[in-house]
Amino acid sequence: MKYAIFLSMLWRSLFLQALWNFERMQNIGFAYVLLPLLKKIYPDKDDRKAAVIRHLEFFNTNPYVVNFIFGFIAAMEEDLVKGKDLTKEQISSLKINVAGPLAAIGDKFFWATWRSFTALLSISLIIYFHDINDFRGTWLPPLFFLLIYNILTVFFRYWSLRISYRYRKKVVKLITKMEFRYLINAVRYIGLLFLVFILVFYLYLNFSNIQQLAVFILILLLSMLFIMLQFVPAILLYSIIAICIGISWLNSVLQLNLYM
Amino acid sequence: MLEVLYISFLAAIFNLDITAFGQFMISRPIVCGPVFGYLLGDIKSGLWMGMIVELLWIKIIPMGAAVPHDTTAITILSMVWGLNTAKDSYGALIFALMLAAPSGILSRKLDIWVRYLNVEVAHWVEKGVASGKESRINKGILIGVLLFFLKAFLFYFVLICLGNSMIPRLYSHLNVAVTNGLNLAWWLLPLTGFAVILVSFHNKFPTLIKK
Repeated sequence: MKYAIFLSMLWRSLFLQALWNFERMQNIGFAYVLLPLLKKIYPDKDDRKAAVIRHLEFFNTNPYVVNFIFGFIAAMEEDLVKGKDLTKEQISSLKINVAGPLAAIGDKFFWATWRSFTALLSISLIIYFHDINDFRGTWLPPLFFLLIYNILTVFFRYWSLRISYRYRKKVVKLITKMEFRYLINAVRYIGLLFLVFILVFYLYLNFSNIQQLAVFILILLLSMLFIMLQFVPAILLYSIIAICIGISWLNSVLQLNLYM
Repeated sequence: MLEVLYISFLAAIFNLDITAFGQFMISRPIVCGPVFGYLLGDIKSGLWMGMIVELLWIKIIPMGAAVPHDTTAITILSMVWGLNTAKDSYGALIFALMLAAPSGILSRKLDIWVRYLNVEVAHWVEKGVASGKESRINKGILIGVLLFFLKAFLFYFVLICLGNSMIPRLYSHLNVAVTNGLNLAWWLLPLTGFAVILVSFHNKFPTLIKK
């Protein structure tokens, strides 16, 4: 695979979900990414048609890890043209069988863990810098989040396409051997550590009298109770706001010396 | 009116990042909040609002074929509505957030509708390829991006217009105790967010209801 085609596939893989539909999900996106390669290896339009139609079948996976699949599919398509011992059915069954487990890993790691973790890091910057009036780096938290999050995903997208094109089916074995579970747990524990620091720092910032601290702890405990009762985010938001209005009402009616 | 058009255009561009293009996470509340806060003249409130939405909705992720709630819409609408109601008032921002929270569900419904429309486009592309018109793949991708963009643009335009005309009037009727409570919520909602992330990061956190 030439480097120009490699770059073209990398760029096109960003559009994987552009025509996401409820029938075959990312099928058009898949064919769109593979098109530069198919044009190269099947110069004749009629030969190419069958290959493109083969790749218009059902397909759905996580957009960050999809380049693993593109890498070995590209390699296998090239082998098919060279006449190696390979059938078209093998290509599509491998593609479908790898997509599911890979999507599960990608969702669990990138969406559920890495995004929360990087968001938490940049939130710690917001809490840390919020009350300093002449702090000029207001853009730091969002830029930090984008940078840290995308360093991993962009690198992963690039690397997975390269490595999977080079090592083909061996990559499938590699993925099954990778212990993503330990990585996820490690990231989560570091995240919890950060969270405790942020929480203590936030309470410390707002600790001017004992009543105020009592209100903060009360809200924290009540939120945890609501979350364990499986409240959805919007309902959680409304219940906390209702409690805040209640506190403010008590404050004004009973002349309590609460936080205000 | 020109400003509303410009804001909804930008919001629609940011919205494309969720599904149609890239997933570079510029659509996250923590990025959208400060950006739209900057455009409307208050970055710091934008950062804080982005943080609140990010934390509260952190568990909502696009698993498999599920379409998640649109947190981008919640952030952008609450920033636009809140800063339009009153500058330098945290209560107005929280009031706007309360009204914007259901818009995430509305946006999700529209998203599902677009994805059903995409089925028709995909059929058109598949038929074209079968009859030798391969360029329809490129056109189909372009149409997909345009559909997602148009949906987001119309959604933001209509909701920003409606909210800007109604919310200041609603807010002016609120009691002082209520606005003070909303102000208090501005400082207490991050704690709720920390509780959400605490429970979601801890694998074996006890739940009161058995699944």
